[in-house]
Amino acid sequence: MKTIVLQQMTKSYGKKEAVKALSFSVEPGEIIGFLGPNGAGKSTTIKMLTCLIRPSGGSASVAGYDIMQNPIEVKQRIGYVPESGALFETLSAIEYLRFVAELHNLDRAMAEQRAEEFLTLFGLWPEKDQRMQEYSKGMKQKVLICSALLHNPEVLFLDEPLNGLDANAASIFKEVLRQLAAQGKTIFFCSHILDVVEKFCQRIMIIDHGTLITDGTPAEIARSVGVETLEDAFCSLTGVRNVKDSALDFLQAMDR
Amino acid sequence: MNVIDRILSRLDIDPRQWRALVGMPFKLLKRRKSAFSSNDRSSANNLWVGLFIYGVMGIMFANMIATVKTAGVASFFVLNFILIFIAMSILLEFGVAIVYPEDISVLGHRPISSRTYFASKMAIVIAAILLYATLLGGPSVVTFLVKFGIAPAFALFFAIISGSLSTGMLMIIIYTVLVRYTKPEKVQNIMGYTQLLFSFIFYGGYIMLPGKAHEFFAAATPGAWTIILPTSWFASIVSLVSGEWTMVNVTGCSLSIFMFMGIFYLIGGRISLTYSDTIAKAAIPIASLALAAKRRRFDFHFFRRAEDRAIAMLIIRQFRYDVKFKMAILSILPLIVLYLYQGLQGGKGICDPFLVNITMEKFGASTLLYLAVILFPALLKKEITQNDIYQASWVLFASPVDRGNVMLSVYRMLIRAFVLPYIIIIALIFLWFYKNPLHVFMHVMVLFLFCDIFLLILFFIKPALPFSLPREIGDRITAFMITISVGSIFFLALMAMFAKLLYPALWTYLTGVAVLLSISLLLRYLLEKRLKKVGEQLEFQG
Repeated sequence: MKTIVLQQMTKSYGKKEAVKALSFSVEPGEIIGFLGPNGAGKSTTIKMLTCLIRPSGGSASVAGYDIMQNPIEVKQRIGYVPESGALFETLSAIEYLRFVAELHNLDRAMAEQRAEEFLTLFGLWPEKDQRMQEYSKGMKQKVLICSALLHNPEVLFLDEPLNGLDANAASIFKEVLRQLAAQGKTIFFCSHILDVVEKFCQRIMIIDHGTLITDGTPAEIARSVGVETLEDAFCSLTGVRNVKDSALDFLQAMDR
Repeated sequence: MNVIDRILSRLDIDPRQWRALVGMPFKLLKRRKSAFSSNDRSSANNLWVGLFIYGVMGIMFANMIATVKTAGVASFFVLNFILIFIAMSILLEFGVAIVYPEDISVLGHRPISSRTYFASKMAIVIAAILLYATLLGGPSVVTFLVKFGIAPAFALFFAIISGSLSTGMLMIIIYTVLVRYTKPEKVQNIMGYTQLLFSFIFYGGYIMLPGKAHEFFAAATPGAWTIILPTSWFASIVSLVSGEWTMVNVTGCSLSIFMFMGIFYLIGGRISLTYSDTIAKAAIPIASLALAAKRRRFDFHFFRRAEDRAIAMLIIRQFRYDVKFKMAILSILPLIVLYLYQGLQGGKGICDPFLVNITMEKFGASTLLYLAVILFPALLKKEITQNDIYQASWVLFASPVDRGNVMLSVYRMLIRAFVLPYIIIIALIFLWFYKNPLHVFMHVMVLFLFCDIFLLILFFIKPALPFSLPREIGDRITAFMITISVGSIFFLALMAMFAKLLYPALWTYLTGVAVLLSISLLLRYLLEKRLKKVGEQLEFQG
């Protein structure tokens, strides 16, 4: 059974269509890299799939449930790390994880044990009682990741999840994601760091102006455009025909 | 280059940057969508409602001073009202409208001189003060024109403008001095308690005024003692122009000129981006690990529902560590304290409604208590739904919770943690005066039901998840004024009618309580239905 299915999903803000009739599907265990230039509609798509906002048209299902008809069932099965990194910072890390555990109706003892293990893994256990106002960006990101994994979700939506993480934490997290994918969980990974996406994701989807413009493995995408790397393919597909020429134009404009 | 640009350049202010900085907050205000729905209604509508209310209040005050014999007394009355209001709004809106804590991150790395930044902020503050002062004082100026002639009217206008600007600037000086000389973690607390103090003054004025107004209005002059109040200094300008050449008025007028000039001298360069940085830091209290470890763990397990536990944890922690939130709730405290004070002054307002025939006049004496009963939940609900941390509410939208239930949890939390304890305090006050526990119980039962119904209506009209909506400029003071002016009239009339018609006999009382209970249950049922529907439609605003 496919874990994510979109059919002609659309989101409009007034006359502007942020996402235009988007259709694709994702298998269990896949690690999807969801790419696009700024304002392409990535975050809007993720917000719709995580039921934060409602689509204007079309349909979509996540983990076998329709996002419009069964949003609660969808949310029980997904984990989400938002790009904004916003947290209720008056809570401590452990309080926030308890708060999330309550929202997911998790068994308290189990949630407590998982929270301890996750925080220990990220080296946050000694600071667990400190209010998150005092945390660094990376520490907050670790708490967000812990909260996304706490209920052992089937599908993970990660919007720039490596933001602020140090190299060690990022390596641990990527390995955790690989293992989760091996267990059959779906990872929907959204990032602007193309090197990471190229190495980490099995399948790449590129969206531009709200439309899916390509879908395949990094190598397939590069080959289809006639370039060697995903970065070159991305630039070529999203409007920058020649990076060197564009840079030159930029420099010339600065000299004027 | 036009005249304004030339003046700004002479003052070492970059005109283009100044224009951009002055225009930006208005653009933001205009473009921010309505907090509740995703339609295109601008939040500027809320501002218009607020301004309309200030205009109405100005007309009410102008009407009140129409009976006053002398220009000196009338101007003293008007200026007190306007200047305290200006001070309170600056205090309430400082962190939202005057200095944005975010400014440092957005503008800190831009080549903006402190002088340009300061000038832009001053322009906004001055425009806001002039607008408020005109709306609140304009109608009184017209009354003066008709009653006392053109010179006193012009003098009043001048006194209102200079007094308002001095008050506004003084508040900014106090704030910036605090920021400079106080540790960042203390600033918010100090400002919070200053806000609390002003609430006492504001409510104090409100409670004292009805009793003293007749006596005061009948007097020929405000009295020599008023020289200790800066508001009387500005009123002295009007007295002098009206021909009341006394030593007190000359001294007062001199002090007002001295204050006006002194404040504008002191304000020079007070607001800079550094302040925005300090204020941003001040918003984040720093706590040591040791303190955190000592903290007693609050057990939320006695809440039966998971949503209740989560929301209780969130609200209680927010109350404990978010100074703005805490102070907004604590600022209701003065109402209770002042009412107690009023009651102790002969106890005329706290009479057992079962023993005497309650009239509207007797009810009027207890205005603040009954007003607090509706003001309390209204402000609480507002503070719990609209907060600076609204972007973190994504977790409530992305979690498998019934949003309708979460909103109901907020209602239950408000009832359990705030309204019930408040009603218990009121019951204790009543018990002191009534000496009859049964009457106290019966009366607070009615009060509680009224409060519950009012809260249910509020949730019905504007449902929202906790901490999920952004604060908007002028919202707090507008909500406060709407509740205090419109809500109180309806509620007081209803309560007085209830006591007059239903308290005399037990069966009428019981029937009344049964009706209120039925309304409460019906509203609860309807609210559950509505929240379920609305919960599905709510979208994340971050």
